Amino acid sequence: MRQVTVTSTSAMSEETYKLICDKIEKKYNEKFIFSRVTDNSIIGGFILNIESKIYDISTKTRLNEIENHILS
Amino acid sequence: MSDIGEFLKKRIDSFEPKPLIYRYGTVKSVADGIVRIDGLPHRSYGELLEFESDVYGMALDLEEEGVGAVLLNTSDNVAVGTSVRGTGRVTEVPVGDELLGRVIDPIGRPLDNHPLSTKNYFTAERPAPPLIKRRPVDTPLETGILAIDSMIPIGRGQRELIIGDRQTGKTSIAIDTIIHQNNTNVICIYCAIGQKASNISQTVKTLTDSGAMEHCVVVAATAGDSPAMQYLAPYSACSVAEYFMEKGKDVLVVYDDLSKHAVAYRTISLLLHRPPGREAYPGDVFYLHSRLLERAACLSKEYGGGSITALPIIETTGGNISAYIPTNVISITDGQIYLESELFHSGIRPAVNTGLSVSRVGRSAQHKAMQKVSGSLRIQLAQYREMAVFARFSSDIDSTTKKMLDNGERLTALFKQGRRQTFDLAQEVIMLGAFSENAFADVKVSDMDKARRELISEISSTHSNLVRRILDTKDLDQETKNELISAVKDFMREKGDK
Repeated sequence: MRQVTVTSTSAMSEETYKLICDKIEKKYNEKFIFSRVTDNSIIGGFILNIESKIYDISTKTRLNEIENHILS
Repeated sequence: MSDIGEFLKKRIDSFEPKPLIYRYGTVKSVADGIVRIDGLPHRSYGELLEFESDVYGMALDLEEEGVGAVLLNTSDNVAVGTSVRGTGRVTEVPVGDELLGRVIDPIGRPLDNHPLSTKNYFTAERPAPPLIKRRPVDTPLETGILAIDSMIPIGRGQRELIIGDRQTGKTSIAIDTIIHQNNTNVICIYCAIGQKASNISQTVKTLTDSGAMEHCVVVAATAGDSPAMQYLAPYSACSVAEYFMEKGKDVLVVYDDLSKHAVAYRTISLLLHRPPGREAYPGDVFYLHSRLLERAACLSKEYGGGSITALPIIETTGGNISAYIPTNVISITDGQIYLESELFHSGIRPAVNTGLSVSRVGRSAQHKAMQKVSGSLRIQLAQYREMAVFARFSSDIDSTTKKMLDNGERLTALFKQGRRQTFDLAQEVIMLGAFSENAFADVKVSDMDKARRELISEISSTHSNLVRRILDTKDLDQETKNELISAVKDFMREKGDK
């Protein structure tokens, strides 16, 4: 089974975490081993790490992108 | 103040959020600018990889277990365990009109302190135009340098090598040619490979002061940049040029110089443990340059009619043009301009050895006007050179030989040109036409420059129609030729009277 790590802030509830894991399993139609990492520096949102492929939907990254967009 | 607020609001509104998705790997080892990475499957050859804190690398070794990459910029932050992101983009460079007047590095980051953004990107490596899209070279690229335009003419779409020892004026010829394109619609790309940053900045200043920067792009990889950057530089510069060529424009690209480029490629290859060949260069060092120079072409009208003219520069040691890299590039290009130190030091500048220099495109790359006045120049100079050696050893020289020697000396002096001093077609035709009418027969060799400037200014002011006609038609029909000859004779008479 493939591994998935969910990185979120401490503000994310257990419920939301379960919701995310269920959605992922449904989307890929396979069972995963989930693990959870808490990192408050991402400010909000979450980062999925599915076996070296990363889906970054954190607020910190989003803000960085806005900054780059404004400066370009 | 409210304008700034409005501006910021608009920029933020135009932002389209997208989730950031990427693959990452982990650094397994770092040494000498080569990084071995674990993970990162499905990479492309030459893909740009991003390390932490703005450090980039190029994936050049794709293996089952991981990737070997060359660092494009150095950093102390790349250590074992650092994560690496695949960008999904094979090394690319920004292209577009926005680049005109700018100085960039081979991956498109601006080096002149202003932000740069373009809509388009081209990969650095691109296939050369196929045979079907090409047309024979038929339009001249005027360099403004009399010796070249008359005897070693360059056409748009040709590759002409500038080769010589250090300090023989190779870069000067290239820069003067670029500056001479100021009032044409030729776009110039100057690619500096492995040069001192102080030299590059001096070159940029020269181009700016002469107004040439407006139609130029400078792609620079200094001697302090990583070998991978120096390796990439000419390919990026060519991609920048290809954008304009595909829009139907004529482009001039100068690669200064490919000797340093070959050395940078050798460095990378040896560090990647690729087997060394002759002079420790890798086996594909010929392909390194042939694929670059094949991208210089002349496109047929159906494909826009644009062209890229390449002026690669090679530095030789001890005048040895039979060394490995020089012979490689000579066999690729359509001719060479061979500069010699002895000529340079004896005051003949540009130090062109007209005997060994050749343009394989030749007459088809010359305006008709120039063809008509430059026919016998090479032979005259060749005969003069033979005679001059002979004459050194004999004390009695008959008058015919003496005349030939004097003529040769004056002709050699006529081809001397100062830096940043270029001539347009009309001035070149006037000078050569006058010479063949013996207008300079009584001029001392040391006064040749003064005499020709007088001639040119005199004829430009009294016969401006003639000048106009030469410049517009680029030809010298019988009527114009007669008018030129009589103008020259008038000038000679006036001078004789003084």
